[in-house]
Amino acid sequence: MNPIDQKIEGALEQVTLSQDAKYRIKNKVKAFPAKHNKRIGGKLSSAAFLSIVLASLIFITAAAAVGFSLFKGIYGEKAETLTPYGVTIGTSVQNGDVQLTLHESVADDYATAYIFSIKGLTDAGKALVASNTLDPNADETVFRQTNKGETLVKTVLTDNYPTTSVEKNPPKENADCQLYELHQQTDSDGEYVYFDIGLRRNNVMYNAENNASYVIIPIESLREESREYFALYIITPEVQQLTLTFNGLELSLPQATTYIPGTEVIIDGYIQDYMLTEGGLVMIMYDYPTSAVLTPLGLYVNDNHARSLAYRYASLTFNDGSEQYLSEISNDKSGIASWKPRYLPTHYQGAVYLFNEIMDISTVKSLVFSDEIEFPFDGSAPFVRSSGRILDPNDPQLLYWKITAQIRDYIIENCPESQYVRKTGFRASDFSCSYEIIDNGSVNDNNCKFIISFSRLSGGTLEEEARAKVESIKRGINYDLSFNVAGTGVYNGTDVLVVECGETSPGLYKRCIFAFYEGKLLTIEYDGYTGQPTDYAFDALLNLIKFD
Amino acid sequence: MPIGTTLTEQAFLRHSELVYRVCFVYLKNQADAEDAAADTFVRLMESRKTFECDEHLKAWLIVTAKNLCRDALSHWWRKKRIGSETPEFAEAPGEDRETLSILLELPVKYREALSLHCLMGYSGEETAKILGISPSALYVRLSRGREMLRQALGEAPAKPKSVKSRSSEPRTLRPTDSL
Repeated sequence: MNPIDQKIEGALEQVTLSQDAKYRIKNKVKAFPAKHNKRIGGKLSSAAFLSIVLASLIFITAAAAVGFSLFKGIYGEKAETLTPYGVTIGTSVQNGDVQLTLHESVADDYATAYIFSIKGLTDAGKALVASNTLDPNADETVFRQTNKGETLVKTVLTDNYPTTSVEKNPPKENADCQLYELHQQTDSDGEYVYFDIGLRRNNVMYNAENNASYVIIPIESLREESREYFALYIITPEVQQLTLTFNGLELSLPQATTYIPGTEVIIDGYIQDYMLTEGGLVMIMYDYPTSAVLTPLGLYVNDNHARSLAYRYASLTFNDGSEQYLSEISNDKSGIASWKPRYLPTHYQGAVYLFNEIMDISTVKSLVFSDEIEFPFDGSAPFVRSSGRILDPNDPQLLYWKITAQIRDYIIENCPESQYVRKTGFRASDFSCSYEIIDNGSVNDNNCKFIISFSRLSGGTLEEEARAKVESIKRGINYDLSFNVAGTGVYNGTDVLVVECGETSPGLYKRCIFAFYEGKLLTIEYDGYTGQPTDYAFDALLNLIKFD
Repeated sequence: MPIGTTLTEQAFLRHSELVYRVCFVYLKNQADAEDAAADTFVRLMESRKTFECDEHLKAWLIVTAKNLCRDALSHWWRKKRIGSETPEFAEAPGEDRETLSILLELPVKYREALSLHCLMGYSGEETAKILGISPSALYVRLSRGREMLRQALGEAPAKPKSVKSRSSEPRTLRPTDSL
């Protein structure tokens, strides 16, 4: 025996059950049947008989209601509050070895939860069910699309410029639907293990966009011999018919018709006001949420892009004065903790916090981001906790956003029709957003990118601030950039500096336009191949400037 | 084996100590462990199971106790409380006390793997089955748990050991799959 195991064995032997404790446990166990095993004896009067018949009828009615009961396996007794919205399904299919049963469902506006089970009917079936036991503590449990088609990346030299195109060939079979297989990664450095449980998204092609997310949680408390129970959450928007599959068995997942009501707060506008005026979050937050909906099942945060770091510090306050971080009261495993990117539901723009217990939403007072920005659910105005300042969605500081939109729109207007601009995301280091000029919708090296950013000033002249900015860009891309002033002029009523920074890869040039704007340094970085069609974008940018 | 109070009494006589230990390893305090142990035997009374032998009964009790404790641990109020919780246990000789104390501080997935493996004397495959994980996952947890314990006890590290891979048919991540 391993010496460490010996030590553990010796140590565990010290955990002993005292005689008193034995009695206490025994008494608790004994107390149980006394409450449940009552018998009625003797001759009954007709009135008593009638009362028993009535009692039986009430019991049967109650039993029908209690028919919707498996969600207690997840939420405990509070699951009873879901009963008015719950549906008992009870459909089952089986082959010689295994049985697949869909038991119950319940839905709110954002998620539909199902409970299903798989049961082994033969030794082979039992082994199959056992091999589909999920680890509730796995690092990652997700449905992965398995018929995505082959991705081909081609790179050719065109006029000495490398051109890369990405093509997707259809899968060899099942191109007319999307297939998802469940897999787990038990440890962060362990291998992925696929299971036989799957989903088929019907009525769509293999390469169709899918914004829905699927989350599965094993319910150990319901486990029976040779039978495993699971909760499956379909996080909307799922608009297609879904089929649950297991070892050749299939069951259609019925769509919900009754929904648990929720309550909503609007975030868009207010959070930008905070980010731009209070400062702190400018450095850590590159996307922002737009609204949040609270239901007894969870909190759903809609986002303009995806995955804001601010969610990591999101909390709920309650009417009794208490406060809890969402990571404490919601499931942070199985694919639904918003602040861990790898656990995010695929494609879901925003965050989903499914609560560990049914939430009485009448007790919730507000949603708080980063311990500071508070959004009351009673409809009153959002405010900054530390200062009490009421947030204003029409704050003039939102010009930061307006100016980026102006520049973007101007470039779109002034570029050839075959091109368009798409926003590609934000950087972490400053408040900045990046736009990409796309040629005919394909991603290739002829594309150009421009990044509009605002950074804090350190008291220097425009050129000094610009040099410091180029230095910080150099550090960021680890490339030797130059600083050659190509021109000075006026943009939007303020002095500007146009700087050539040199090549960052063969043929690809970086140029920057600098200006002071609203007490910050505005930088427009442009990366593109000179002489290529996308160079129109830079011309468009230069057209904004009135040169000396 | 007949079902009913007799079975529960027999099971209690034979296995209450083991069930309590399992519960204690998860919940780290006497009162909660007693409650969970009692609930385990209540579950036994409620169930309509037949057991092939005493080993079968013992395994069922351990799995049920484990599931009940896991459920208890997953409650948010418990998560909130557990941070400040100091494990309680009877006075034990110095070395055992230190080992137990460190064992109870390990993350639950290592704690349960090590404890159940050592408590029951089952093979890795049997322990994995009880825990509902693959044998390879169990070996990884045992290995890491032992290493953590060894380090905490200030002992020399063990020689690295290769980890068995799962024998059935899992597929590893394919190059075309995107994360």
